[in-house]
Amino acid sequence: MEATPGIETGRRGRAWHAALLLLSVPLGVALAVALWRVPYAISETVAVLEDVQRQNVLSFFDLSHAYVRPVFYALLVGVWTAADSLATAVAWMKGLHVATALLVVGAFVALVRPRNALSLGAAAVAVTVLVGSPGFRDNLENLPLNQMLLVMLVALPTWALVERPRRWWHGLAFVAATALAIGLKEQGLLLGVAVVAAGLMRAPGVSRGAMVALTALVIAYLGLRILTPGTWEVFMQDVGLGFRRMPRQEALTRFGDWPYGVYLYSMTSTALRVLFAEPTDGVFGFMRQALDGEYQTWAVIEVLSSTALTIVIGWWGLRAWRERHSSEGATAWRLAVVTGLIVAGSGAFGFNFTRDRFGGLAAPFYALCAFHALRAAAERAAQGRRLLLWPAVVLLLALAGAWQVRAIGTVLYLRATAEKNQREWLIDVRLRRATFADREVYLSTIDALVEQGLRPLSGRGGRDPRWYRIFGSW
Amino acid sequence: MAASRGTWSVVALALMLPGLAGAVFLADLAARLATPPPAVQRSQDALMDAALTGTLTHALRLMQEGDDPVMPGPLVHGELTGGQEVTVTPLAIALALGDDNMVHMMLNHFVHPEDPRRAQARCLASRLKGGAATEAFADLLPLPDGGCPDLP
Repeated sequence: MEATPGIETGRRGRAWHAALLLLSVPLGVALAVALWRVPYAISETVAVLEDVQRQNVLSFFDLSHAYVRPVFYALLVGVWTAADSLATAVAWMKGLHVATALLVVGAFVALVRPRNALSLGAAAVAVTVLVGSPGFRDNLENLPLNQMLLVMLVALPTWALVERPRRWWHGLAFVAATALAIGLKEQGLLLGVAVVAAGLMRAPGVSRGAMVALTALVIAYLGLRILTPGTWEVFMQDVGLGFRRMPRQEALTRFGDWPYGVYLYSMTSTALRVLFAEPTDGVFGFMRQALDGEYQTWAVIEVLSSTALTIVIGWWGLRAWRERHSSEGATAWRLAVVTGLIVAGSGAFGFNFTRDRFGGLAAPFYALCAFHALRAAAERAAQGRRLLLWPAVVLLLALAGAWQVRAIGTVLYLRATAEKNQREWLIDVRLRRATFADREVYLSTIDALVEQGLRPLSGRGGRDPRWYRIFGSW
Repeated sequence: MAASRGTWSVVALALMLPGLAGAVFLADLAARLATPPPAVQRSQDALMDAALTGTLTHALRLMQEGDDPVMPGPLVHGELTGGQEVTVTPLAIALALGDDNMVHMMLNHFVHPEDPRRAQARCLASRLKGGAATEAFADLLPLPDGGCPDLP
């Protein structure tokens, strides 16, 4: 096995890695169980499955639409065609979705390589940063499958190749991974940008040829997209602005003539949500609570833990910049810059409106930075002045605890989502049938899915620990 | 400055302790989520109680196991019946309480379209003033062909 610079390999390294895997197992199992019991949502899933049955595969490659996701739909069509019944197809899609989520966590665990007890602790916290981040949580939605989760799964091994010694096939792998990511969701373009940026900063795994090919791919896709005529709505969904969510129609009336200010706001909001956990969907809910003097513990934990971690990452990034001429410093500096680019790029893609899921691709990179930053901070605390040791220990303990709570919150969020989706199946079926009475395939899909929507949910017994109340209705 | 093994361990423990505690909570949560749903506690008025308290998922389980939302039964309720015993159906209770979600669920999944007791409930809804559930019910179901009977 080839070594990534500065990272211990061999039997001792593998033991630390195995310990990290072991620590992550309960989280992985809880995620898998919670995801498996979530019924498909009536709202979006039925419409997606209707498209899969009705539309020609080639129509998914039409660049004139606002959303272009040909690989995602091809994947769904593939599962749909291979299955002998709708029930089998739906079960396969759910299995694939759960596997994707677990593989993202698994790929992350494979990528962070603890080499001692301190870095094992930092890696364990980083796993909770990934799972507890809004970008990851929001993309656990089963549409069926989830495009962004699949993009994350493509991005993590790609980044591992970037930092590995160069091989002849790396360039092909980067181009294939970027093309695949773009086909799943257009934010996948950022993967190509990230690899080129790392290459420009002399990443060992990226050749000049790969950079040229990736640049050509990204420019060609953007060119095709811009030159293809199509109708783009000024605001496609409701817009979060300030302290409230503005209905799409109101946003059109107020800002339709010059929407660029709102676009800039939405772009900034996506980036701020990744870094500071506020605003949510463009709405400064926590700040509103603060002004009203009514704090929700959950919101406080989110904002404080994100802000504190971003400060630690900022300190580490500055240190990486100072040490960028050393091998390990250069690796860290590349990661910091690429993460910055992906956070900014995720914001740019969410110009029209912002949602937590837009921060999906940024989540694993932010968590990777968290690993390196927390390890550096922990080493600094252990080696620094004795007077500062205990305050540092308390701060690290609080930060690790807050992110652990957030990771548990993600599992509880899935539990609440299961109940919400079931409630929709209970209540909305007749209304949907009436609204879409002329869409035969839609109706047959609803009929086929209604049983899974009403199936009694497992795990309703047993009492939650009292402290779970901080999650409110989750 | 080189760190002692003790200092190193304290800092490592600070990072790992929440993870170890979290693993215990998550294992417990996973085990609870994987537990098959418990058997429903059945009683004669269980569905009425569920309609009164608005517990959708409990009502769903009862109906999945055969309870009938349009089967009349006796009810004594301070607010709804003025403390008198009145014979009503769970669907009528949901309507009287204006529980939009409960009404939708009962009509969506558990009341047969041809059941004449739906018409009775529809007539009751037409006499209730306002409320989202009443309006929803009216949207879902036309009045019986012969109109509603006069109140005694």
